[in-house]
Formats: sequence, C-alpha cells, structure tokens
Amino acid sequence: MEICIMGNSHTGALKQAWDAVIDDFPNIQITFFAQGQDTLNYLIVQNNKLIPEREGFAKALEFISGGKREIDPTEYDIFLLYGLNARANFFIPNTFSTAVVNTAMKDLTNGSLSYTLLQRLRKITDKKVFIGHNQLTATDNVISTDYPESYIKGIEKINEFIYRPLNAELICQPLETIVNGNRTKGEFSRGSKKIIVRSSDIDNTAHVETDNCHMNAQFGELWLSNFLKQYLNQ
Amino acid sequence: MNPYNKLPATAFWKPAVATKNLFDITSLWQPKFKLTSQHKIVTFGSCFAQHIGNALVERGFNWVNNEKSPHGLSESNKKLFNYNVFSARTGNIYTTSLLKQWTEWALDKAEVPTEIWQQDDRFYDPFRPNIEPNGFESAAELHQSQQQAIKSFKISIETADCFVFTLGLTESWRNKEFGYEYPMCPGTVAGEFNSEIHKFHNQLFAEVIKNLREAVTMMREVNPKLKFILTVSPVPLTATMSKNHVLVASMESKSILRAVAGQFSGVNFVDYFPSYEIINSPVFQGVFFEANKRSVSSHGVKFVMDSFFNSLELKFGVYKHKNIATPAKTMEVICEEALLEAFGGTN
Repeated sequence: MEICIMGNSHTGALKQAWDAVIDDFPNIQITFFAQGQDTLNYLIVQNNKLIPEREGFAKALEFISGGKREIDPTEYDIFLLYGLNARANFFIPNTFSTAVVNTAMKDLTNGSLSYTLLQRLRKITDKKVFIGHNQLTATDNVISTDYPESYIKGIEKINEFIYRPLNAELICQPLETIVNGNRTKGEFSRGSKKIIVRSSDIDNTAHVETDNCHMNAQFGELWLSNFLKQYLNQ
Repeated sequence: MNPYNKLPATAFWKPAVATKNLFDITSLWQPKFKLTSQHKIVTFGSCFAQHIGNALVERGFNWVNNEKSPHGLSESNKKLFNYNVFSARTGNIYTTSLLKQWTEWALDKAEVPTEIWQQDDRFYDPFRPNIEPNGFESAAELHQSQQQAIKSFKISIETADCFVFTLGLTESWRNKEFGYEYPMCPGTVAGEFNSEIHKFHNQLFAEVIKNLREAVTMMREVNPKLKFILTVSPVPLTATMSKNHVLVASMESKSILRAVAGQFSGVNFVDYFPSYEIINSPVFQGVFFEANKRSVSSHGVKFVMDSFFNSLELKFGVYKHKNIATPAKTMEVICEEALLEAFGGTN
C-alpha cells in the first residue's frame, strides 16, 4: 500500500516513528511531503496533481520525499493530512442546539490548511483521505485518566457532519496518550524534533523544552501503529 | 460658615463641570465596594450591559461565564448565538419584572411557561426570541436549551460575588391569561401577535422597584453575600407603545428607571454606577452617540468603562490584574429591541 503523508512541523513525530518501525510493515510504502507552518498552502492544483508554486519549496519537497517534486494522486492508495491546523472536536450531548454544534464544527474546520488541502485533493482524486489533527496540547498536570468520552463523541460527530461526505476521516489520537479528557500526557512532548528542510538538509533539532504542542518519536510510533493497525488493518 | 463650605469640588457645578473640558469630568462615581480579580462578577440586563462584561474581561476582572459555547465556535458566531454576551444565555433582560421572572424560574418559585412559537419547521423561545437566529430544530431542543440557560442563571445567582444589572425598559408585553412577560412584543423578532393573548403594559415607578426588590431579595436568600451594581441603559427606546412621542416616552422610561436605581441603591449591598448620566447628560453634548442619536459609540462605551475602572482605582488604589485579555475586535451589541426598527414603519 502506498501512503502519501502531507503535513507540517507536527509530522516530525511520524517521520521519526516511521524510520524506527519501517521493517515491521513490509507492505507499506510511505512518502512524506512535509514543511513547517503553512508552507504546504503553496501546493496548487495543476494537471491533476498538486504542484509546489515555488522552486525553493519544490526542492525542499524533493529532498524530504526522496525525489518527488509534486504529488500525483495516481501514485498513492490513500492520503493522510497530518497536523496542518486540523483541530480535534469535543461534543457534550444535550447541551447545545444542533445549529450551534454544526456551526462550531464548520468554524473548527474552515480555514485550516488541512481542510484547504483536502478540498484541493478532492479536485484531483476521490481516494480516501485520513486527517490527523494537531496533537492535543501536552500537560504534566494529570487530573484524570478517565475515558475521553467527549473527545470520542466529538470525533464521531465531526466525521459524520464534515469529513464522511468528503470520503475523509478524522482520526483519534491514541487514547492511551490522552489525560484530562482533552490533553496529551506530558511525557509525549519531551524531546520532540523539528522537520524543516533548509538548503537540502533536514533541521531536526529539538523543539524548545517549553513546547507542549509538538510530540516526540514515542508518540509518533503509537500514533502511526494505531493508524496502520486500526484504520488500515495492517 | 455653612454646610457647603466643607464640601469637595465635585459638589459644585462650576469647578466640577462648567470650567472643565468634558473629557476631564471625573469622579462621577464613588464605588461602595472593592472589586478585584478575586471577585466573581456576573452581568445581565439590557443591551448596554453587554459592554460591561467585555470591559471586565479586557481589564482582567473575573467576569464569569456560566454558559460557555461549544469547542470551536468562532468569536463572530458566539455573538450570533448569544454566547459570551451575558453570564448565562438569557438574552436581554430589559425590565425588572423580567429579572424577577428569570429569578423565580431559576429558584423554582414559578413554573416555566410551556409556550413556544413555531414558524414553518423551526421553533422559537418566546423568552429568548433571538437566542438562535434560525430557531431550534424541535420543541424538545428548545426546552433543553431553555433549561440550560435557567440552570446557568441559577449558578450565576448562587456563586457570584457581584451581580451587575442594567435596567433598560419600563414598557413590556405580557400574556393576558397567565401574566408572564415576554422580552419582546410577539410578532417582531419571532412569533405572531394576537391582541386577544398579548397585552402591552408600561410599568410605573412602584412596580419597577417592587419587582427589583423581590428579585434581589430572592437572590440574597440563596446567596447572602451577593452585592449588586445597578446601571441604567443610556440607549433610548427604539419604539414606544405608550402613545407618547418616542423621545418623551424614552425620557419618562429612563427617568423612572434612574429613580428606581437611585432609591434602591440606598442599601449597603447595592451600588449605582452612572453610565446613564455619562452618556446622556447635556454636558456631554451627545458626543457619545452614533449618528442615529440612539446607539452608543465605541468611544462612548470606552469613556463609560474607563470612568468605571478609574473610579474603582481612585477609591481603592490601583489593582494589578493578571491575564489581561486581548480586547474583542468587535463591539457590536446584541439588541433585539433594535430589530423593532424593521417592523416599526418609518425609519
């Protein structure tokens, strides 16, 4: 199976994880197209492909993907949009009107680069697109390890209303990484690394210690294994 | 010597007003009690009360929102769906009788009427007609939302240290048979007017103060430490049913509310903040109104709220707040009453 992963700085955790577990998944080929912040917004639809608008960006993609300067959907079986400001959803039943809940889910989705790229992909392919949201912010202050019910229900709800009609699916972060119902365990953010290409060289230096938004390779392994096993039955 | 000799300059028109630039007129309020970020403050009332909640947040005070919006809702849509407007999603509480009604519902002293308004396949709350711009999808959803608001209003009463209430109107609409009050005339924002069912009532001083007293008494029975700051909305009526000219009706209505607030703030747990005077006094020459001579401009709101906080600092000293919030980008106010313009004939 050929998987195309498109992402921003959050993809660092997945790339590190894939390098570590690649031998465990002989049937899987993954190609990464990742750049920091909103750089992937410079991918435009042209000739049924996603093409980088700028030469520098094209070179960076070529380096990180192992030789590809553009995304040709015919080369992949599925797509994963990771990070890119996709946000998790939470749902508490019997509290808000349907109109409010639906408006909130639209607000949560519209304007994110993840959703923009999903719409661009839909112009060139109808293959399944999975969405990995920005990881829940990490905390060391653990108040509860209860089952994150509002998170699970929120993901179900946004899939039903937003993603499923687009043959896409928002994926849950591994539940064992979640504390307090809406945060990531602090241990998963320590030692996270960047994934930014500069002059044909990957900057994978560590994020600052106070960074609680980016996760480490341990998190990436859990996430990727969960994705490949649970969602792709690999 | 006479008693006036010992009075401060603020007691005399010439030094306090006549010889001053209007923007230098200060010390209009002598606050009775200190407010810090430790105090839980809730705000309710008519349109103008919405500015107070915003200003409290911007200054780092502990404005409490007991009915939060769902995760992800944008700021503009929070406004559209009336979240973060008051401390619970009550919509505007224009009159003291509506305040009493909400208090009775919250404290289980009166049944919530079962009346709902249906238009096509959407359902509207007669007591919060603009709370959902397109109505609710079912009667059950409406009732659930209504109960949530009442529960949140109850929490506000039970847990707040300070309850800020802005008195807005004396004119009101009631159900003839059951006596309960609607915040808006049925048929304007939603619903359908029926002269057999709906009745106009313009409240006089005695009734306004009685309802306010009863509401405050009920609240202090469950929360004896609760203090109140009353203000009177400086915003004139959009329309009147009093048969008077709307300007005359506005003056009468606001004069009653101002007199009620003044008299009722004679006790130590109730204070009156003169936002009404700051905007409406002839001294300020109407500079704080927009071109329609009704809406208060953002400059006016800022001047009023600066006066509020400066007075607190002058009396109790500068209080350094943590977590000063970023000011809201929009100051647009949710005012169903303004929607009357759409139904009121000549604009």
